[in-house]
Formats: sequence, structure tokens, C-alpha cells
Amino acid sequence: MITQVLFLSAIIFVIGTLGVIVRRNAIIMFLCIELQLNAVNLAFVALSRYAGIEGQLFVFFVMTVAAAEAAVGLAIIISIFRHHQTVITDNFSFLRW
Amino acid sequence: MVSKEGKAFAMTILESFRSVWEGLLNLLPSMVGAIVVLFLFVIMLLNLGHDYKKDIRGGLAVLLGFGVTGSIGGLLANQLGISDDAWIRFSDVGSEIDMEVAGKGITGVIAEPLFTEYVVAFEFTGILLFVAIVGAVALAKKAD
Repeated sequence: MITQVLFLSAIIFVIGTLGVIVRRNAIIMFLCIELQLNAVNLAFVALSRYAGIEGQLFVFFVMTVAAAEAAVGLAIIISIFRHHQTVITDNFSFLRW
Repeated sequence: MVSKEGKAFAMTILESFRSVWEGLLNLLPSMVGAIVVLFLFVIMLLNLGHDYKKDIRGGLAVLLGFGVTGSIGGLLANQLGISDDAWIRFSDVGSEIDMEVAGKGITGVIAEPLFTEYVVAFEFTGILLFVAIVGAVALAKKAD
């Protein structure tokens, strides 16, 4: 059972990574980061069966950090949208060399 | 006519669906608010109805993407080659957890270390969320 769950977790993580690298829309990249975080959560829960209840506990912390990140990230995206009328990451180049 | 075995099989399937559904019901309220808000943002900012192909990078980025994800996937698949036997030596932890769950319930098993051993981290999480919400409001409000 553990192998299947870890496999699913790996697939979700890879989809998230691909999305972050390949897509241009900031919102989609953001969703893909969430996908990566949740893939790691899934691995934590699966491994908690073998390494102790702390695995499930840590998922709570990951979720709260993800929530904080979502709040700040969406606020940043909104403020970028106000300035540039778009969230396509090619169209704004501040903080870029 | 449905045979007795068929009925029993259907009941087993229904029973397993019910347990999965109950597990989902426990998870649902905590995530549903965040997801609905995120969904609204997506609808607002996704620019639906326009050509979405320009949303996908071409050339080097795709190569890099498939290279990175391929190597991550390969690495993970390599690690997953560990047989189930390797996990068995940990399996007493699982039965320990089962015993604790039988005694205290799943909420108690998770909440007890959360409020004793990891209480400092828990408090810091509260501070983090507070700072994040203040920062989000400050960032998102219209500049005067």
C-alpha cells in the first residue's frame, strides 16, 4: 500500500513541478506550487504509518504555512494585476535580470 | 433476480464507499473555504475565452521542464524500487498508532502531541498566519 501512495505522491509532485516550469500564468504556477505541497503532505501521511504520528501532525503545519503563502501570494498577484492588467509572467520583468 | 453473493458484494462495495465518504467529510470543511476562494481568483484572473496556448511556454522551457521533472520522477521511481519487506521492520509503529486511536480517537491522538510537545510550533503558526493576513491586506488594498 505504501508504495502505491508514494507513487501517487511522486506523480502529483512531478505534475506540479512541470506546471511551475512550463506555464506562464502566475495563478496556474501558484496552483502548481500548492499541488507540490499537497503531494508532500500525502507522502507524510503515508509514511506516518511507519514512522509515527508526527507525520500526520506535520501536515497541519505544512497546511498552515501553505495557507499563509496562499494569502500573501494571491495578494501579490492581485497587486501585479492592478499595475499590469495581466498575470502572464512574461509581461513584467522587475526582479529579473 | 440478484444472487445472495451479488447482494453481499454490493453491500461490501457500498460499505467501503461509505467509509471513504466519512473520511472525506472530516476533511472537507477545513479545506473547502480556501478552495472556493482560490477558485474565484482563478476565474477572475485566468483570462478564460482567450487563446490559452500562449499560456504554455515553448522551446527551452519545455525541454528544461521535462528534463527536471524527468529526473525528479526517475529519482523517485528509483527510490520506490524498495520492496515492501523493507517497510515491514517499521510496521509495529502502525499497530501502535492503531491502539492509540482505539483508546483516544483519531482527534486525540493527533491533538495531544500538538498541544504538548509541539505547542511552541503551534503558537508560531498562529503568529505566522496573523502576519500573513496583515501582509495580504496591506498588499492587496488599493494604494491611495
